[in-house]
Amino acid sequence: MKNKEVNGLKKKRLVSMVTIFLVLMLLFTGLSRAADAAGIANVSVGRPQNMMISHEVRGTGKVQQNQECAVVTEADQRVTSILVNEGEQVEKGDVLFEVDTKLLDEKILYQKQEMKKLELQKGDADSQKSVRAQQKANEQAQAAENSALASGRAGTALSHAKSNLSDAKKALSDYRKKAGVSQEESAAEEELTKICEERAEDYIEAQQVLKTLEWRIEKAVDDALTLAKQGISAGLTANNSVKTQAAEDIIIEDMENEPQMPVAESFSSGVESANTEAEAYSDIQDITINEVMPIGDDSGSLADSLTGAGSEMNSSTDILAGITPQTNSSANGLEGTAPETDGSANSLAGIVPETDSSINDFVGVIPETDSGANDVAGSPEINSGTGNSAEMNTETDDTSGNLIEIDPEDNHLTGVNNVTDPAGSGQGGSNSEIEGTENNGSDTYPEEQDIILDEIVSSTESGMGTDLLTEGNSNGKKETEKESQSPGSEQTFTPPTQEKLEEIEKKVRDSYASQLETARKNVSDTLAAKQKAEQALAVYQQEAMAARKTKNAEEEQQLILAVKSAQEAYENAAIAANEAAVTGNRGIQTAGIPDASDSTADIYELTYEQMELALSKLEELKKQNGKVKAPVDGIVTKINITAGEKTVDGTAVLLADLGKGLRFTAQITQDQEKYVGRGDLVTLKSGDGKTTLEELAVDSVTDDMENEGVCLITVQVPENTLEMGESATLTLVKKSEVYPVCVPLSALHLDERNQAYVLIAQEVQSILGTERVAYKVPVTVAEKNETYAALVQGGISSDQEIIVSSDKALSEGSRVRLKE
Amino acid sequence: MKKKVIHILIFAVLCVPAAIICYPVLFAISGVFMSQYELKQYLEPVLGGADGMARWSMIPQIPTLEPLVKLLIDSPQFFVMFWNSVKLTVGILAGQVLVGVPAAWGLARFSFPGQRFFYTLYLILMLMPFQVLMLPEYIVLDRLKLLDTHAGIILPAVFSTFPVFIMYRFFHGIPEAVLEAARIDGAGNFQVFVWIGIPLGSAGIASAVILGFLEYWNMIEQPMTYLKTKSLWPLSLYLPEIGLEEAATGFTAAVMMLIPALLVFLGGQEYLEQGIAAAAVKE
Repeated sequence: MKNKEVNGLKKKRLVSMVTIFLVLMLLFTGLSRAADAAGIANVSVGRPQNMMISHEVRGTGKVQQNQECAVVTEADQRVTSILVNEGEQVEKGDVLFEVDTKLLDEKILYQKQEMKKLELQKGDADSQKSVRAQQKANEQAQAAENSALASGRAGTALSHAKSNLSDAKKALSDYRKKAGVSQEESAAEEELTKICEERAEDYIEAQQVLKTLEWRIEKAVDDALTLAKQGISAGLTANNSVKTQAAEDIIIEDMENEPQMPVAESFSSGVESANTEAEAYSDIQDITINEVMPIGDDSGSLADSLTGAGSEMNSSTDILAGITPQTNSSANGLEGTAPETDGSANSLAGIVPETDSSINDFVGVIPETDSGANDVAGSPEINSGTGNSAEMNTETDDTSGNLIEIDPEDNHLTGVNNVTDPAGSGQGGSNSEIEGTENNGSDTYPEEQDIILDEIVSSTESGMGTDLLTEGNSNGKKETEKESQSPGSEQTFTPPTQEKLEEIEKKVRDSYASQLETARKNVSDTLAAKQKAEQALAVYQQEAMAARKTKNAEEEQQLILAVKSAQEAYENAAIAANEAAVTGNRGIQTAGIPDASDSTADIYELTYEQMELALSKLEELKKQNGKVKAPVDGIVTKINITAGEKTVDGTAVLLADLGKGLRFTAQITQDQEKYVGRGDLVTLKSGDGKTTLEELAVDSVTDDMENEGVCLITVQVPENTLEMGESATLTLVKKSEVYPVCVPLSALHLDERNQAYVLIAQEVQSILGTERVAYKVPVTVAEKNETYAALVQGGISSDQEIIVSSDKALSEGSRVRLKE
Repeated sequence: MKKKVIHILIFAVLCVPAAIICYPVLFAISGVFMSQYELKQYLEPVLGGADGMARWSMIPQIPTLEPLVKLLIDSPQFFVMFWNSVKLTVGILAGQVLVGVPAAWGLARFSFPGQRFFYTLYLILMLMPFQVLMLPEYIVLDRLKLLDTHAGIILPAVFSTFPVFIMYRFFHGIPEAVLEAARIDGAGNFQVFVWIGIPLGSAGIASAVILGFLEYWNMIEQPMTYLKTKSLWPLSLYLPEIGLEEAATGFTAAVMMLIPALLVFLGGQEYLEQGIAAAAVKE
């Protein structure tokens, strides 16, 4: 029994334990259920809809005028009264404001006076222009005249030289006849003399050809450079030629400064332009001729050959004319003056005294020259062998060199061999040794002059930019050449193209190089030939004299010398004549350069027209009694003037043109722009809500220039509906096509990679029974508006439940419970 | 004295297998108080694929009840399954009692033609393993639309032969004289069964119920085969689903599952012994 009781007790305890266990389990079941329920997100779901996505664009704005009209008036008028206010509506012809008529009258008067002044100024300008044109014509005529004169003088000088030569020859032959020289001897000598003369003429011709060629090269270079510069700047041509002239002047000045030829000073004072240069030369030639003349008084046998030389000289000028057409006139002038040789010689006599004085100057200078030459003689560079100023000149010019070279021979002839002596004194000394006559001086000076002349000629040639003579020149001359280039127009005006210009110049010169070389060679050849002939003649004469042993040998010697000097004078005159023709042409060319354009008169004319227009406006205002009227019906939007103050240049009153209609402009965001197009129908509702205008077409959609991201829509407002300045609201609804899968925008989410997705509440079987779990489905949005998004088909089907809203954040796999 | 020494010796020898047998239970109980982190460290080589060998410590480094709280408060799934198990077990046991007791009385106390045949049939059926009966049962349940329902589990188990066999033994052991006396006192067959048979065979019924409870509480094949819906699953199917991440929950759940069985065992220990003995007695 006891055992049974224990058993019963035990059973009771067991039953209560089991019961407690079960109750506890039941309790926790409820508890865990409750806890679980609290953790589950309550969601509302919706199914995808078949619908259209409509976009509503809404914008507010104001009604504005289509066009504004500015009322302008003349500046500087006093406004007496303004009759309108801003915002006021005016009709066409209504007076807007008035200006003071008194001031207006004054203004008109002032304007008229100004115009009068301008007219006078214009007249002045016209007359100035005509005067300048006349001056120009005068200059050209003078240049031509100068050229002709120079040529004429040169011709005269040449004929004088010729006659002198023939006189000298005649005197010699007469003397010989008197002395009883055998016929054979005289014939042989005559033969030699003839050969000598022929050679001399050949030499002159060669010299002329060379000069002509040089002139042609210069012209070609000048033309080429001008062309090149015209390519750079059109207006530079005039300046260029002027500059060239200036450069020449500078070169002449340089020449003056050179110690080797201080003699040039006396001449260079007169050498200002090409014309005067030519004149100076012809003067010198005259002098030469005059000096030579007394010597050849009793000679005159070779007059025929001399005239032949003169005609030859004319023919050479013809050749020159053939080469350059511009020289025609000068050549003709030369020919024209040829018959009047005597007359012109007479007229030239007036100039002679002047030249005499210059010769006197010159004479005084000679010692200086000597000393200068001696100074130079100290420098081995220039006077390498001889140390003679004459030798130095030889280096400078072939012609002068020849002349001097001949002189020592003459000296040698007389037994005096003094090489180291300065030319002038040496010559003088030798002559005095030979004979103490007064002719001595006159004999020497022309020679000296010849030297100087040639020197100057060569210098001027170098001034013209010729390389020919300066090539063989001393350092001093090379410097001159450089200087002539440095102040030249090319460098000053167009530094960047300097190299190019030089290149062009070089090219042109190169093209003529062979011709030039030939001509130069020709000159030296003929010169050598001439020298040979002369030498032969001199040797023959000496031998003849020695053989004859006449006591009159000295007298004969004297005559031979006279012939020789006359011959040289003639040669120099021929060369100088050629030179004169060349320089004369250049003067004409320089005078022919046109002046810079002058449009002052035209500018006055234009200004006058402007003032005329202003005046007509003022008079119109006066006619209106100073009343400014509205040009169109409209509303005054802005007034820029104040009563009592003066008007300013610009808009006085701004009117909104009512005749051109009204338009409504609204602002929308740039996102909305794509839903609005031109011609879309919109609804306008006025600000007070009274007027609603439907189906108005959009006039334009444009970006707002002032605000970024804002677009402006304009709509033409029908007449008599909305007033100007009224605000209104624009509404436009754009409907899309029908999309089968559309979800509320709240159902659309974006993941971290910006991929759009929706969450679907999918039913799953779990231990707790049927549950709903959120699943992610990636989708592509086709179109969306503020509330709905249309999805591209394929991602989700229309029978799936899409979670539209949730009270908790959801992720994939979250358990969800549908909201009741 | 010598006898005492022998007892101690035997006790000591028997302690070894006892310790071996008890170890899994202690293992499970110690696991309840361990944190998830600690369990993971121990079990990762086995469950998580980490290198090395699994270790175990009987004493938790940081004792905690967190897994228990989590299971009780935070796991409604556990309770669903717990109640499913309770429902199935109670249903089966009630059915077996209702069906098996009369069946066992009839076989044990009445003589009728083919009695012996039926008894043999019962024995054969009792010896048949579940795997043999699974397919026919499935087909029958499918025909009866009982698949994926609790009834599909309960009904076949209700008509199980094993409890009938256990109870047959007890009913058969009731002396005929006691029954004769009852009949003389005017009791009919039904009264004899209710007032004499059941009270005297209650031990048999109890042992059949306890054996049945232990079997069906841990039942795994039938629900696995016939139940698709997870919400119908019993607790025995939940435990295998627990992985490394929920190891703490798994240990706690295992212990919780042990508690009813332990209580039933404690309460019906003597009946259990009698029942096992009855099953072992050869006719």
